[in-house]
Amino acid sequence: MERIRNFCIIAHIDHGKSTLADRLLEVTATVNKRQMQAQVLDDMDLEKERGITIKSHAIQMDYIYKGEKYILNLIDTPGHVDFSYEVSRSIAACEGALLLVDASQGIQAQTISNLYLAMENNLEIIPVLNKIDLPGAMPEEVKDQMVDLLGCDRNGILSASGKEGTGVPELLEAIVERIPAPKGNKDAALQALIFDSVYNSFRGIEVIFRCYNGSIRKGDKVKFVATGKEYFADEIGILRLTKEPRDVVEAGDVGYLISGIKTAKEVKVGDTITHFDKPCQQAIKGFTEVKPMVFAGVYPVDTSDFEDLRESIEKLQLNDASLVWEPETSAALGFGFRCGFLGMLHMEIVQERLEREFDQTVITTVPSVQFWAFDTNGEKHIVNAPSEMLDPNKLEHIEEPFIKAQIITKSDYIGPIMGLCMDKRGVLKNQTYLTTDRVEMNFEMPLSEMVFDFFDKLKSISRGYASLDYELIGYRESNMVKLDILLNGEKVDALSAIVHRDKAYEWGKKLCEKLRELLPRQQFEIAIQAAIGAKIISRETVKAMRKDVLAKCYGGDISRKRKLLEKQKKGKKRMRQVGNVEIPQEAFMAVLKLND
Amino acid sequence: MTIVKYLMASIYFHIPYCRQACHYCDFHFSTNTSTQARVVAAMRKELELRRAYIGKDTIQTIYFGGGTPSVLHQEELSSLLEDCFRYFSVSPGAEITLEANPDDVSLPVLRDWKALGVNRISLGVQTFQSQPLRQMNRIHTGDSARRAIQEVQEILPNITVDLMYGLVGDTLDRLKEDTEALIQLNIPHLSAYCLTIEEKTAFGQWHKKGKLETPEEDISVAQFDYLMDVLESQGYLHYEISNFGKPGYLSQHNRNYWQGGNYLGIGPGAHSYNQQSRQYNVENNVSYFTCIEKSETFYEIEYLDEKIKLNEYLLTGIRTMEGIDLEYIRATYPQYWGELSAPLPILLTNGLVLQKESRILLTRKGKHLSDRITRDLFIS
Repeated sequence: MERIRNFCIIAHIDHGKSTLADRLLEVTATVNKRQMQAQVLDDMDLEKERGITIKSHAIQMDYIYKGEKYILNLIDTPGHVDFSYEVSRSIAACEGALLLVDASQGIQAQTISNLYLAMENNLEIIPVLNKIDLPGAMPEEVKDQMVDLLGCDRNGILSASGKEGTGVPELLEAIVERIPAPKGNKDAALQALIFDSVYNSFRGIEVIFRCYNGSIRKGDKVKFVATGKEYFADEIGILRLTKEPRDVVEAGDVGYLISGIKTAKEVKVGDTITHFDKPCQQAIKGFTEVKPMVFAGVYPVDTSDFEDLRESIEKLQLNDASLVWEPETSAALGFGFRCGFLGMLHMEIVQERLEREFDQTVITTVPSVQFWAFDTNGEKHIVNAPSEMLDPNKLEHIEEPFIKAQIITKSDYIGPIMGLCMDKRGVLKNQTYLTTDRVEMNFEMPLSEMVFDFFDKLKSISRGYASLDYELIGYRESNMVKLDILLNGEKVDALSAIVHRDKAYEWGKKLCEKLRELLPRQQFEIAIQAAIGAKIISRETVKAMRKDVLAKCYGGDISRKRKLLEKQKKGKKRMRQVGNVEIPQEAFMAVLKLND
Repeated sequence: MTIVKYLMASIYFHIPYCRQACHYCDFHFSTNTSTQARVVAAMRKELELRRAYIGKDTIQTIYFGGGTPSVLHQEELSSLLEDCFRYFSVSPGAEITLEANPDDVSLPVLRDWKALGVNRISLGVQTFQSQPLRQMNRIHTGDSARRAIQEVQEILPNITVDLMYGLVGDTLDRLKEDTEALIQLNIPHLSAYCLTIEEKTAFGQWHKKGKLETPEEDISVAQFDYLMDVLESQGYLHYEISNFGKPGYLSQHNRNYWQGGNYLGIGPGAHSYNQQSRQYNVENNVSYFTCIEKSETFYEIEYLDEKIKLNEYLLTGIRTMEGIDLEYIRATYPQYWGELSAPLPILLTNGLVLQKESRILLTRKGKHLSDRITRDLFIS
C-alpha cells in the first residue's frame, strides 16, 4: 500500500487536464505510441469532438521511482461547472490532486471552486503551472496568483507543458514524494466506495470502486450496503487503458467489479461494497445526493418510441448518476419524461448522447428551474414544470432559486458584464481586484436567468475572458407568472413557461414571432397567441396555404416527385397535433433560440 | 369484378441541347452542341439495345422533348424515327410530338418534319410579352412566337402551346391578355405552368441571395382560377392539373404517363417505366455517350414494390380528370385499402375532393392543393 498513489487532476475548463493526462500515460508507458491519440481517456466521441471531458476516467499506471515500482491511479475529471459533481466523486477516491492553472489565463472561477472541494476532502494539493510553452504565458504573474490563493511555497509550484511534455518527469516524482500513500488495513473487513459505474451492453454494469479496507477477490460474495443487494464478484480487476482482470484488489487501490448487474437502479454511486460473510461495521460516508438545477421534458419524436426511450434513459443514467427523471404526460407531446439536469451543457449532452449512443430522437421542452409555489393556506408546492403551477386564484406567492455567481474577468469587461447581470435580474454584491487588471465579481441572481443564454452571452461580451462559477444560495420570492402559448385558441402545454412578470411581454412577443417562422402553413389560418391567464399579450398569424401543387408531372418527374412527397409525409408524421394545428418538433425547442 | 387497365406504350427521346439557358429551367440540357452527333449516335444505339424493354407492345406515341428537340438536324431526327419503325411495331396512327422553339420553326422545316411523320408540335411560347420573356432569358420574342404559331397551324394543326403564370412581378391582366390571344388563335391545347423557383437555376441562385422576390401566391392562385374558368367555358377539358385540351386534342403521350402505361426513355437523363421498374439514364451528355460506346452501364434502376406502385398511381391519377378509382385500388391493393381510405372522409368534408361513383376527383379548391392531398393519401 505504501507504493500506491491515488490522485486526480483538477482545473478550470480548458486548462489542459486531458492533455497532461495523455503525457503522464505516455511517460509511464501505460499507453504505447500506437495507442496514443489526443485525449486518450475521453472515450466518448462527443468528448473528443468538443474537446471536453464529460465523465471522469480512472486509469492505473506503473511508475519506477528510485528503483521501486509504484502504482499510480489517475482520475481525470471534467472542468465545466455543470459537472462539478463528477469532480467531487473523483476527489473522494483520492489522497492528492494536481491543481492545474493555465499559464496564460491564470486563476479562473473553477480553479477556485475545485480547489475548495479538494481542500474540504483533505487532499494534498500539488500546484502546477501548465501550458508554459504558450507564447502568451505569464509564469511569474500566475505563480503570484497561485501563491496568493493557496498560501503555498512559491518553490513548490511545478511548471509543465502538457503539450510538449516539459516538466512531466518532475511531476511524477512529486506525485510519489508529496501525495501520501493511502491508509487502510487490508486484513480488515472489506470497505470499498463505489465512485462510478459504466454500462456495458454485453456484461452489464461495471462498478468502479476505491478499496479503503480489506480486499476483494474474484468469486467473493459481496453486498452493497445502501441497497442491501448481494452479488458474486464474477470479475474484478484494475483499469488500464482497457480493463485488466485480477484475482484480488486490495485496500488502497482502485478497481472495477462485474457481477452481472443488469438494471441501473441497483447501483448507487456513493454506496459501500462489503463482504456478505464478514460485513464492515460502517459504510463509508457517501456523497450527498446530486441536485438537478434545470428541468425539461424529454419526449420521443415518434410517440410509439416511448418504451425505447425509457430504456435508453435508464442505461444512460448508469454512467451519468446526476441525471434524474420521472414519467410525465403532455397533451401536445404525449408520454415522456421530466428530467433534471445539472445545467444547460449537461442537458445538451444528455440529449446528444441519447441520439448518438442510443439512436433516440427526442424533443426537449422549455427548460425550467424548480419553483416553489405557496398556496393561500401557506402550503408549499414543488413546481418542476409549468404545468404544475398552481391556478392563479389559489396562488399566494412564488419563490425561485437564487445563486451566487462568481465571475473572474479582465477589468475592461466590468461594464458589459455588469449590464448583462443586471439585465438578468442580478445584484452585484462585491467586486475584488485580484491583480491590477483582473477582477472577481460576485452577483446574486435568479437561477432561471442563468438557464438560457447567460453563459454564451458572458463569453461573447468578454471575448472569452470571463469565467463563471455558481452555487445555489436559497429561495426568494419573485413576481413570476405562467405564460401560455395558444394555437388557434388551444393551449400548447409543452410551450408554456414560468417567467418574470417584467419580462413576460418580451418573451411572449419573441416566442410568437419565432413560432410564426417555424409553423408550416396549413389550409387554414393559424393564430399564435401568448397569454398570461386569460389576458392575451401578443399575437402573430400564419397565413393559410392556398397553393401546394407542382407544375409538372411527366415521365421523368414521377419518381422524384413521389420521393419528395413521401419524405414530406414522413416529416408530417413526426409532427405533433394540438387541436387542428400541426407542430413540427423544432417549434418545441424554439424557446432556446429566441435571441438568434 | 375484375378491372382491366388498358395500357399503351410510348417512346420518349430526350434531346439535351438548348441554344441558350432559360433562367428558370432545371431540366437536363447543355448549350454546348459539340457533342450532339455522338449523343444522337448513342441514342440510336440505346434504342437498339433496349428494344425489348417494353416487350412487344405496339408503340402508340413517340415524343421528342428536351432541352430543345428542334435543334436536331433533319437527318438526325429522321434516323431516330426510322430506327423506331425498324425496331418497334409503331401504330399507323401513332401520335408523334416534337417540342420546338418558336425561332426554330419555318414552313420548310415544318414540311420536312411532317414528311418524317411528326404530327403534333409543342411550342414553347410561355408569354407573348417581351418583359417577362427577357426576364426568363427566353430566346424568342412575342412576335416570333405569333409567327411560329401561324406557320405551325398551316402545316400541323395539332399544336400545343406552353404558357406560364405566377411569374416574378406577374399580374392577372398579363395572363388574361396572353390567354385571350391564344384562344383567338384557336390553339386546341394548352399546358399552363406556374413558375417554380428551382434551386439549381439562375432564378434559384438569385432567390437565395435575395435578389429575386418570390412571386405572389395570391396572384398565382387567382391566375389558375382564371385559367380554369376561361378555358373550361371555351370548351377545353381540364384533363390534368397543368393541361387543357379540346376534345380530340388531348396529349396521348402524357396520358400514357398518368395512366401507368409503359414507356421507353432514350437519351441522357431520360426515364423509362415497364410496370416492374423505373430506369434513369445518366444525366450527363459525355458520360452518356461514353458509357454507351464502351458498353458500360448508363442507367440506374429502381424496382417498384406494391406500395410504390400504389403511391405512383395516386400521385399521377389524382391530378387527372378521371381521378383515382377506389374499386381498382380495393381490388388491386387490398392490403392497403384500410390505410388509403382513412383520410378520405376529412378530405371530402374539407371540400378538397369529391366522389363520383367509385372515383375520387379533385375539387376546384383541391386542384390548388393537390400535392398536399396526395401526401395525405400516400401509403407510408
